[in-house]
Amino acid sequence: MELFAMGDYGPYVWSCYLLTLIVVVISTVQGKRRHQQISDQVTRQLKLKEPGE
Amino acid sequence: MWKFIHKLASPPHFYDLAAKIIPWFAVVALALIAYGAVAGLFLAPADYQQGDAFRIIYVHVPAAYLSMLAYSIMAISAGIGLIWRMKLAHAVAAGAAPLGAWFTFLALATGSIWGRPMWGTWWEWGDPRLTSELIMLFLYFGYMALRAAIDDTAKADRASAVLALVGAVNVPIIHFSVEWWSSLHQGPTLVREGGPAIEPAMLYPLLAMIVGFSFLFGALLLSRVRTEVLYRERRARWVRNLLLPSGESA
Repeated sequence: MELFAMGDYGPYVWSCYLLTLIVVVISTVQGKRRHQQISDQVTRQLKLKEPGE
Repeated sequence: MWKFIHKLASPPHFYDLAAKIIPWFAVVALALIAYGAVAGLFLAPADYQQGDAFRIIYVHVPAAYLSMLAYSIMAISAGIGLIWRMKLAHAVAAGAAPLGAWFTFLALATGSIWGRPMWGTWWEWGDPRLTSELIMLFLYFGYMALRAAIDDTAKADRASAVLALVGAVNVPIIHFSVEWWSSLHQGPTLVREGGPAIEPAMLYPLLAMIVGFSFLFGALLLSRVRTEVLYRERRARWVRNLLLPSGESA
């Protein structure tokens, strides 16, 4: 337990690492979501332009 | 060589190649960051002045480094796009901006949390290092807002490229701010005369984190540039073949 206490600085140290994790997750998810949106949008436009038989 | 660059910059080739590279970058990033985080948090000895608070360095420095690397990549790509009218370069610049903004935010936030116990304050207005980093966050916001405000992609590319290039003067200011002016911020740890001012057990996790986060940034950037390329090439034949496989009807 002492290992995780970080002296008196536990809250400071752990909040920084947690924040880093959050930023990495959000920026990854945001990028993936945008790719899906653009991909769907372009697919819709292509289908409008050349409707199937 | 020129032929190689030309092929690399061809959108369909880049789109495929990036998809193959991204998982490898992610694996290397995860391995290095896992080692760096465990070694930085638990194995490295506590700092004789800062105690365990110094362990914030292992996330703060990579974030700050990436905030400036992303801006440099954005400005250089924007410049290349402006001068040689290379479309892929503009796509790289546009993809780097939101990532740069995220890592700038992270550098500011972790710096603030570190500053509270060490300097006795979350924020110091007028401090050159803090202020110039905050200005960079606003430059990223300005760049993204300008792009979002212009519908025509080519016009958005040119206008935002000028903004990115003008703002690039801020990058060396951030780097040298702690040497040029008096600042609360501590001086450089790694890139300084006489070599790194840090012992090996503290240094290796830091290097692992910096390289690991760089690979992570590489993977995230490639992924965002793929999205940009897909949108910009939406009228191209290869995108049509990719998204509407033959035989499939609406």
